[in-house]
Amino acid sequence: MLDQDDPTTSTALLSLAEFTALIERHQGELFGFLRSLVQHQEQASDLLQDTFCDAWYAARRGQAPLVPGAAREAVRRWLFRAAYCQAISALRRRRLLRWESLDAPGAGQWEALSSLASFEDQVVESAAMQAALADLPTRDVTCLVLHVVQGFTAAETAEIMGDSPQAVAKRITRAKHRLLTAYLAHEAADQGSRRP
Amino acid sequence: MNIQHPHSDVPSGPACAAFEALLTQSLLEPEAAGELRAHARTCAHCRARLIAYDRLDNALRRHVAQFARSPLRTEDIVQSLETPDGSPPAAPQDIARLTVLPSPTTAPAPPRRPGGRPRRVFSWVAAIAAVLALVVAAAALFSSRHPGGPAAPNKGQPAATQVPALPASVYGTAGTLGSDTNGVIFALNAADGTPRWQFPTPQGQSYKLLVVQGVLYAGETDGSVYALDARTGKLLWHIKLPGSPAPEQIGDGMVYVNTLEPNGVNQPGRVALYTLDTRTGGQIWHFDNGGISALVDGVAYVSSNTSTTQSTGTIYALDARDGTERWHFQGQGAVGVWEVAGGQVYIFGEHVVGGALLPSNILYAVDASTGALRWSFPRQPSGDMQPLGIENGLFYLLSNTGSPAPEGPFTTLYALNISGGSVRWQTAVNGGAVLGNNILYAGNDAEDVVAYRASDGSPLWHTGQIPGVSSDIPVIEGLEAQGTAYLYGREGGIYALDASSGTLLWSGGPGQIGGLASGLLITFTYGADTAGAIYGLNPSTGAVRWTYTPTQELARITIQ
Repeated sequence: MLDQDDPTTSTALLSLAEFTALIERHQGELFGFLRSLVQHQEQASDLLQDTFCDAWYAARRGQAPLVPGAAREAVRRWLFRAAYCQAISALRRRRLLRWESLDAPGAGQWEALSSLASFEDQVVESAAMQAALADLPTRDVTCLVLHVVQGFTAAETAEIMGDSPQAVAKRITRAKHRLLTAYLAHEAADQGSRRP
Repeated sequence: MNIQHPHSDVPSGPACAAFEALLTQSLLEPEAAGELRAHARTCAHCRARLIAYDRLDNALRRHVAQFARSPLRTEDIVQSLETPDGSPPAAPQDIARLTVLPSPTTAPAPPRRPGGRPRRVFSWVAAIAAVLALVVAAAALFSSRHPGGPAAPNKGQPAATQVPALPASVYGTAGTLGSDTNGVIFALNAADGTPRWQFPTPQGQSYKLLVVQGVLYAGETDGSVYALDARTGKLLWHIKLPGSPAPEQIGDGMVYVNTLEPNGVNQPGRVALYTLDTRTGGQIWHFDNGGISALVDGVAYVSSNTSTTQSTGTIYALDARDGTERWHFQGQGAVGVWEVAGGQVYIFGEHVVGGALLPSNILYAVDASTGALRWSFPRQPSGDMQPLGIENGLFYLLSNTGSPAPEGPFTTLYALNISGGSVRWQTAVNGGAVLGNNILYAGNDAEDVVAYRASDGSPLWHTGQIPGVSSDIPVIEGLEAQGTAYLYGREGGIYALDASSGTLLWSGGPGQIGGLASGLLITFTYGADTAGAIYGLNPSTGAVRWTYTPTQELARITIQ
């Protein structure tokens, strides 16, 4: 049953099969994005579900760009915007506890690091990066992940975050400086603790 | 390690002033990237910085790539989209479900009144009663600002991915104190208000409802703690604790429960902390001198048993696994942890002084590792304060410090630098304020709301008199979603404003704001003279879609 007074309902709706394909296409990158923001495996899973839930509701209403034939990049930007809003909402509700899962890393989790010299370095880099990201404001992390990792331009990142491109560009620049400073500090601490 | 030595490549001396501007410009205009590269060919400093940033970018990509494999199966996500009867979801939901401030789901009564304290009757009886109430309220206040987070890993606990997603629900308790009639814990479908299940309890009066990973934890005034399957209402376990328990936090396979125990005639009650195994309810460790205020990074922050009339209270930072003390911090009055972020613990000290019990409060920023004081605001306790949130490296709070009537409404909105506590900007307000998406909505004058850009305090718009809003304190609480600010004033009544322009979209609507779920604005009235009710409103028009009225007094709701 759709909202009787909702004016955006369209006759052209995504089929469940199309929506399933959309989930398969984007869930990995969205999960990585959410995980970076909330730094919490299970909460990122929950937020991922919520994001697709939002998308499903929007698709059922025929809301652009979640309609048949829409540009993939527009859909992708919409999903990242939805995920960003979910993460911000979760963080603001302060339901976040930062902890690391004791579960073993999933299959393939370490594969991405295989280019690094040693297992020990992999762990140190990841731990230092995790700690450095935790030191940054959420909006800084969002900018960096969207731009550096997901490849969005400053203008696209601004659209996702509801900000101006100029402000986002400035934030990315400063966030890189902050991240580098924080990363080096944590890395130095990690290496110091490893010395015999 | 790819970026471990970037500084060693950077020439000593002052940084190149051109770097930041060129990098920013290159993000906006592709042709400027060439300019930056050309500059870097002749500037060793900028060249080294670019190399360091490249390495940093790669390290960040590798870090995020670890998590780029979703733990969820596509079919599970698809299944979670369907309602229980298999039909498409009943209500639309737009993409921007933004701020919910303050946490609306745990308050037992209208929130702490930012517009000023109620006038007190200054008698000993009233004072003792007030102290007792303040102890309870302080515990509830501080803990409610840190409602339970997701469960920490536990070998015996099913992983989140194994728990089918729950449809958005409103959970509540209702009962009648002093009655022999059973109360209930209940769950409603948020989309249409239909009851999903009910669980009978002796009284139905809960201090707190906590829903985490498909399990609802409730504490009742008879000392019972219940763990229920949030999907079905089936009892998982039940235990009894001394006093009145309130499940506050979840972590490391433990549920952290504060209990309020009587402490003799005319004495404030005592709060104690019990940790229970989430699987069985078995007790793990216990702390006798205070209740949990926050649980972050494996540290349980516990507020000592201190009333606001006492001069000194203590925050204990305990190892969340076994309760061993890491450090403690003493502050003014009843202290509680408001937030832990960026390596700092923000502690709020509430103290009332003199025969008139005037507030004399203070905010402390404490090193999270050592408990050492970094800064406080103001330097000496003064007046009433209410924290609003942290964003842009700023801590926003309301204060009436310096006001000729320190018990009166908040008069100033401050943005403090979190690094040192200095005032970045401040502005005069009247009453409460709400932090939205980089916008602060504040009562400006009678029946007027003004919006400020949170980063610099510049005014964005103001509403002028809002038709139909008869409140002298126009903002107490609210949330921002889908470009709309939903605000609630002291005299009741919700009004929806366009967040970008301040245009009034609608006003009215019953109850106070609970939150957004299933595309609806959930509001509620608690039982006092009436039974109370829960409402689902169309967020675009304010029209009531559904109403749920319990048969007994509504005591508490939470929305998931």
